[in-house]
Amino acid sequence: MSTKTLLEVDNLSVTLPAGGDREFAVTDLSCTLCPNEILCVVGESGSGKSVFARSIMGLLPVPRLRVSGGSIRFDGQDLVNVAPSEMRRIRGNKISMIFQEPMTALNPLIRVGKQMEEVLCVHASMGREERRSLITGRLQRVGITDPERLLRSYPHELSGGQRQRAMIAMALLLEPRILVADEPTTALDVTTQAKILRLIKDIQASSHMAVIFITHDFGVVAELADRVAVMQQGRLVEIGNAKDVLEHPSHPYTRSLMEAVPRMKFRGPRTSFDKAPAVLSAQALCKAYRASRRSQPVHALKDVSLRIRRGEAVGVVGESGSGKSTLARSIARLVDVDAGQILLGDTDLLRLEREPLREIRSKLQMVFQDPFASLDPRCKVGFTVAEGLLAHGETEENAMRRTDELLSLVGLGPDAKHRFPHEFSGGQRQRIAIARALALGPELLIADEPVSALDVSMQAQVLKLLADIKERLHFSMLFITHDLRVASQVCDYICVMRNGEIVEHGQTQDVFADPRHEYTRELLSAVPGLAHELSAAEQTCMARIGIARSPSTSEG
Amino acid sequence: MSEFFQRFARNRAAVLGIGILAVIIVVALAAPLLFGADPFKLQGKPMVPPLTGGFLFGTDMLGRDVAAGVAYGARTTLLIGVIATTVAVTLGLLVGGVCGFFGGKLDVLLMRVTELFQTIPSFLFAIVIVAILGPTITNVIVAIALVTWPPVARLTRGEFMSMCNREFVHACVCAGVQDWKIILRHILPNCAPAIIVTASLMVANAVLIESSLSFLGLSDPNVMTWGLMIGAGRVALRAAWWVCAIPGIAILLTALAINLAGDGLNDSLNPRLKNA
Repeated sequence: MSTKTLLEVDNLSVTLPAGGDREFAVTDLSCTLCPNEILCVVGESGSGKSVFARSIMGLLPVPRLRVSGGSIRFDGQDLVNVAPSEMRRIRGNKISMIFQEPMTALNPLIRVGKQMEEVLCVHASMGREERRSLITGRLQRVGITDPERLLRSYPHELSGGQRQRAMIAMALLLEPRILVADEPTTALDVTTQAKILRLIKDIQASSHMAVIFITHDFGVVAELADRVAVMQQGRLVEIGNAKDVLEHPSHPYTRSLMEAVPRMKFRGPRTSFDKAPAVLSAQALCKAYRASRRSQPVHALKDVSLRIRRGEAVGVVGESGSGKSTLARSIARLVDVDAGQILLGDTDLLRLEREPLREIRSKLQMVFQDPFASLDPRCKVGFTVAEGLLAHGETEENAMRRTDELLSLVGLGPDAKHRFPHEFSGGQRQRIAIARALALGPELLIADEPVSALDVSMQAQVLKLLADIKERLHFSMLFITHDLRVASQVCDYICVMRNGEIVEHGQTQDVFADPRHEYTRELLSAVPGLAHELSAAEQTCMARIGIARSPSTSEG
Repeated sequence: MSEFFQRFARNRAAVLGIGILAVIIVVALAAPLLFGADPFKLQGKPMVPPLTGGFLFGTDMLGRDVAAGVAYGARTTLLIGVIATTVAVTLGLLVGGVCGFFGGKLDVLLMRVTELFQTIPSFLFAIVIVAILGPTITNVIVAIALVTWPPVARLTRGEFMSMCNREFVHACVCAGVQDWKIILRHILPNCAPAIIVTASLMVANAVLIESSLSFLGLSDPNVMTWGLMIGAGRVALRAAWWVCAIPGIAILLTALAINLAGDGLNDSLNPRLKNA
């Protein structure tokens, strides 16, 4: 047995500084890693999975976090008590790591090539030519077509996917025995994520290294894992073969996590809103950004038109940079468009003066992505919710009564109004933000990625809350998201955006079950873990897309 | 709030600064009780060295008590420092706030004006203003405020601009909250730490400018200030060093104390340094 295991973690405990929400970041964690396997560590934020990864690498922020018990044995060598100089020899050489945010993991002031060479200068004695050819080879292996150009670039000149590829190439330079990947695809778009996941899997298979892959996404687990470890509150609650854990989770926490993962819904009750009056109609919206006066304008919106009917939930999906957020902000009049028309009922929002615009804003409210940034840290929750009511001339007494109702409606209870935002969790804050948006009784709720900053279990709760309230109050919704699974659950109608244009739109079921546009198909096929969760009927449907996906001439 | 005091108290240098400042303020307030009503009054023989003849800090060339001068000088100097800073911060907040919140052409115009002020060497500019308007306390305050507001304006503008892009401000705009309410309730309180810290350091700067002006004789000759004492004592520096040195040390200590306290404020108001 001992000859086979590569890494053996035994009763590992990592203490948190006094005053944290619990004593240990990681408690009594034991697991093993064999060569040639991918171990996915899954858990919500704060579960200690990143701390676990960092303690393997000896990268804990000592003395605030330190290993207080147990051992990590790599090839018979204890990594907890190893001398720093010895650890440096192992790090980047036998065990290497890739990080979540490739922008911050690369030094912005040094060319990528130089940074990659540094690894070789430290760990190997090679000539300049030898180093260059090794690096170029690795870059080609991670799918970079012109390595020379990439090596000369600074990190900011590369796309997120290219940066992450460069990071992977860098981690693989010395053919490590173990690759530790801490949420390496979380900051990437779905299509890029799919490519990177495939890449990691391919490289792992061909080089027989072991991979510890930290993630919060069960879809990713289904795509990648040989074995799965589930962490909750610093404890390992379940570990086992991927197939067993995914199909028959034994621990209730694993089950609840998996149930919370949004499922792709291809079929559902089709509600037609054709006869309902339009609440909002936007026509031919255009918006271009320029970095400077001479540079080429970037078109965030190109001739975008959209109609939302009473009670309808319209989803806008697309990758980052597709212009979907600009669209939401333009309709909320937070961004001024260059051309077009936005009709709310019969009023053209773009023609309104300051004061009438301020008054009409009550009909059109917004929920933002980051619940930590969207609430003023210095205002009590009650004031935050009531502020809009007061601004529209409501008496203090009425506003407070309404605030109590709203806080109860979103499931927090009126007592919440005396507290500050930092006393609430991310999910609770998003509920507060929803209460604030509903305070003025809007006809249209614009939700800009309202759940993408939340853990899956919170996500499910907030989505359910939104659906319940929408059912009860009959408002319309413009729902911006990059997550097709979420969109398929929430939206009646879908618009797919790319590069500032709506490339496909239609009833949700129609778009997802029979995507006409190449890009929609690409997005669908990139949804992680999709193949693992589909029913037979849906499999056929996917197969149809799959066939159409191969080099096609029939553009939808 | 108590957390703020705890963090401040942990910073020993800042507590020292506050301590020195407190002593200076108490002495300044108690000056009439300690030294009589008139610091210009002749008290004894001229040029008595410190700690002799009943004079703590000795006397100057005319026989005036240096200790009385230092105590009365502290009143003027601190008063001018605080008032000039208040005026400068108010002006800076107005200009910077308008620029940062509304932007556009007004922003461009006001920022060019700010730059105009910044390009003139500030001390020379202060001298010119006092020379034109005449050496009175009010004019000294005006001069100091006029040369020190531009950095506040720039800081406020930057802070306002970044706040205007925060989602909680967007949320208020969406809720139809009036602009002035957004500024007063949301933007200003969140910018306050940076501005308070800058203001505290500006007081030290104002003390230095005031002392330099009165050293050059460009301050009200009928009001006792530290700069005035140094200016008057400079001719007899070799015979009676204490006439210059003691008010000089007073200036040094005051500026140092305010800087230490300002740094302490910065550390304890900055949440990112919370656990450092």
